[in-house]
Amino acid sequence: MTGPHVNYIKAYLKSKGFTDLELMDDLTDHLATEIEFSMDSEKLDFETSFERAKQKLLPDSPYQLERDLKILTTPKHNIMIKKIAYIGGYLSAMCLMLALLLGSLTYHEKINSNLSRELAQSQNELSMILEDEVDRTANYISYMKEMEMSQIAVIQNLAAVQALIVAAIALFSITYLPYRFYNSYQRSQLELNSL
Amino acid sequence: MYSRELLKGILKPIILKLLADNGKMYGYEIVQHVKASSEGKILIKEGSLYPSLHALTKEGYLQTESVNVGNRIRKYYSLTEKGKTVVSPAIQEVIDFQSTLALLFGKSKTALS
Repeated sequence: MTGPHVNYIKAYLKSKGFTDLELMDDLTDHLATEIEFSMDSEKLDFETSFERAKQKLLPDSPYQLERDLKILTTPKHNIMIKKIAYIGGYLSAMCLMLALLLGSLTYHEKINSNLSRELAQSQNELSMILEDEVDRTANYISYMKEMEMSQIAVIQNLAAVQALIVAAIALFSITYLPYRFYNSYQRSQLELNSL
Repeated sequence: MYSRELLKGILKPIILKLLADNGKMYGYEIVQHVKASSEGKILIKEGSLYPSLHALTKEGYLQTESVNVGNRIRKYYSLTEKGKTVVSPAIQEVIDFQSTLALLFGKSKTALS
């Protein structure tokens, strides 16, 4: 087999999307050995022998070989990436749910606080009518304390909700999103190569 | 000729056994050797052979030696020290599997090795 013949086989493999040089060397030798056998035993020319070797040895989509090789040689890596992506996605969803739960509890707290204020106001008005100064002052102090506690709880809860939302977005964008985008990118690359 | 699905699981033990018996071999030689030894019943497709050979090399069970043959590179595969240690367990596993299949399908046992 001449140098141009070997280059012709290599160019064919390249045109089919092969990029793994080690695999290309193996397939070039495999095809070349089969072609040599046909040329020697059946006295066929290179072109005819090459066509026959292609049909006999290579699958309908030759690039499938490199794809299979990638799947076989990178499973552990892929499994680890998948695990990280799914755990990240799960934690992100959990943070978001906790944020929603805490947010709704805070909203509930706020409604309670409004009701307490209304109650305190009506008690205050009643004390004014009855002209009970001691009761009025005690009610006012109790109301102020309650309002202060309630405001502190709302502020703390809102800070926690904010932190949980940030954590959810960060986890989602660091782990799950890159995995989804990379997967789609790989699929589109494979589709392009198989065209 | 057996289906690709059936051969998938035993391809690695076949490669390991062949290389243990013959020292070093190249891809085309492996295909022809298996075809001749199995009286044409086992035809290893290139689409299965090279991914398996490369995976075994990457896992450290095989090593390659490149030789220039007629304007091209021919790669000879041989067992590494690590590869030699897994030949017997791999063959034993296939023989055990063969016996289990015999239990399931009621055929008499036949020795693989």
